[in-house]
Amino acid sequence: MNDSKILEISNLTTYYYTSRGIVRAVDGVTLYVKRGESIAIVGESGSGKSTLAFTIMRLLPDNAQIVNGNIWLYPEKIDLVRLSNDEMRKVRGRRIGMIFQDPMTFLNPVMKVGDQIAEAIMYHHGYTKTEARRKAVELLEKLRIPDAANVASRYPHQLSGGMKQRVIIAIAVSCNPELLIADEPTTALDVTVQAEVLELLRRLIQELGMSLILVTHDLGIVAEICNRVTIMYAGKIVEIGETYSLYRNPKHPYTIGLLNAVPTIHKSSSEVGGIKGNPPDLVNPPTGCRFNPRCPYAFERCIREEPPLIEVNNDRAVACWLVV
Amino acid sequence: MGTYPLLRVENVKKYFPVGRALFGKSKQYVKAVDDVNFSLDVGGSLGIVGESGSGKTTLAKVILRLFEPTSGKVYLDNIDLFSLSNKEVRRLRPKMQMIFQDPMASLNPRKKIKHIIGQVFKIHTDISDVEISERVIDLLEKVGLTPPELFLDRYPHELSGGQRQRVCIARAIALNPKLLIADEPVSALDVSVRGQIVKLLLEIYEKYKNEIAYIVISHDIALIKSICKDALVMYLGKVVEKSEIGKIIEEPLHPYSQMLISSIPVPDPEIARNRKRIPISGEIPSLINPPKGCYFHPRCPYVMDRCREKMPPLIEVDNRLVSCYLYSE
Repeated sequence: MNDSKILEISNLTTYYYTSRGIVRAVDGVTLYVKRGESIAIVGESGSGKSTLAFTIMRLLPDNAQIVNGNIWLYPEKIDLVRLSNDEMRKVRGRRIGMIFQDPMTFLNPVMKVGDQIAEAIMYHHGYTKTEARRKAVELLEKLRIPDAANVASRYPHQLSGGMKQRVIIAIAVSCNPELLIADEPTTALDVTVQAEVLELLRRLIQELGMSLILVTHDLGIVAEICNRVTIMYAGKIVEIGETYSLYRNPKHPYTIGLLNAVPTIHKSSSEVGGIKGNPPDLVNPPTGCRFNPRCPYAFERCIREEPPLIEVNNDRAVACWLVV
Repeated sequence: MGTYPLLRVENVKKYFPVGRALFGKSKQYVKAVDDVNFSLDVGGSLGIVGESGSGKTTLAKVILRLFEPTSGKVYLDNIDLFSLSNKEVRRLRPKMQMIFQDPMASLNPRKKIKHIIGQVFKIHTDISDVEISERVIDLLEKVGLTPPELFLDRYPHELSGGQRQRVCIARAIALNPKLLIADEPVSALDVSVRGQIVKLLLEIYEKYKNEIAYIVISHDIALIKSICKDALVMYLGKVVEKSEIGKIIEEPLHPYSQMLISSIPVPDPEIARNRKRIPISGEIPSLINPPKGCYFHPRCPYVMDRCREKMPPLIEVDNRLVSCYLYSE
């Protein structure tokens, strides 16, 4: 892995304008992704992790707006925030691919899956229909899908959940993107199928040299495949670090709580903790540190002032007054 | 306390008919639960583990007579549940309670919390309204919704997911049930809130374990491990393994259990990347046309000729039950 960046996000801010008020879903996020690395964005529902992913792809709903910030795609350092819709369409799929949580929602139910994969290849590479179809089957074979030609001639409803997710992955990687964004790619799948899909993703990023942004709430699957982890809480990054060191030595109270809240087969039940309270409402987030109402170590400064994300080691940054 | 187990489940089957049956005949069935046996003592806690389609939820609903069984017997406290009339079952309902996956779907959105919980007493007891409100307050405290006055007049939509699940738990324990079944009790909740509910379920178990038996249904073995002593692994409607939960995790016998354990993501990069993996192949077959012989044989790395012919019986190995030819003889 060389150290050149593929994507750099700077002070990115995305708001939703709703009847209840402004939802500050992503609020000043700064992050970079290196070439060939896989980075996780972990958070609970409402932490803004999916909004961040959809902001990078510029696939936000009408009531959302990128208020501030830049998303630079390297090596040209083009700012995705400022691209026109037409230019963005050339980036999507071709340079950045995306995998979604629920495969059924993102496949066309009345189109054979082979044609759906071929469509992307035709659009971006200008192949003819027959060539693109052949490429689609080749791609499915590359993903080690048994009986690929047969699968390509089926409709989505004839395939199992795991198989559909593999088709989505095939579409996402069909144009050899440099960066793959996966939003909860295995949440809708059973554990044994999840393990297979993760294995497939791991192999793909290795073989094709892609970078991966994995958006998930599951610290388990992060530990399996990611080099670095970003923990998001209420629209902000609270901690970033290298996977091994972050799991061994979490610094932010939220990260610590999150790691303790998951029952695992290697922990006894008395060790399972959990965090008191609930995630905040992003229309009206708490003042100061957004985690302060739930934090066991909160003191006066946390309520008054918002902690910045400060680098504590060369591979770790934490937003907490305790660490300063 | 009697000498018999609190709950006995004998040869329980639940088949759902599928397809058109316009001219009778040629009916196909989904064998959602196929010949399940187990018993549970007072103070026992059993986890039922399986992937989607394994029949775990159907089994629970059949035990509680929320589904009518196809055949088999279930005894709760020596009462034959399947021989009771609907009216008699309703009278017994307070003694067997279920906590569902989605708390929002199991609470009436138009009732206040005090009415939702109070309703239980209205239907099943003849205590006065004053006493009911005392009991409701007491229950809210028990499930950690404090101060209770703050919650009495709220509606379900005004509560968070974790709080709603607490209300469901309060309602389920209101009339001292003998059997409490929790079906994926934390799956619909945020990760940071899950720990709280697991803790609450454990507290309640500790408090009532002299009179209650617990069943927890989940696809998540880690969750089962943090609540239950024993576990039952189901695959396509059949029990493939039953033993103490620790043993299943440490040394799973059935190849399916091995595969299941090795595919659980572990939130620890060192363990996750260094453990041995059981190669996984294939997908869960259709329940309408299950494979001949052992249902797991198309995905099993140790498959033998015999496995393709006949379903292996559930046999005892070192005080554990397993249904696999690898362990016979």
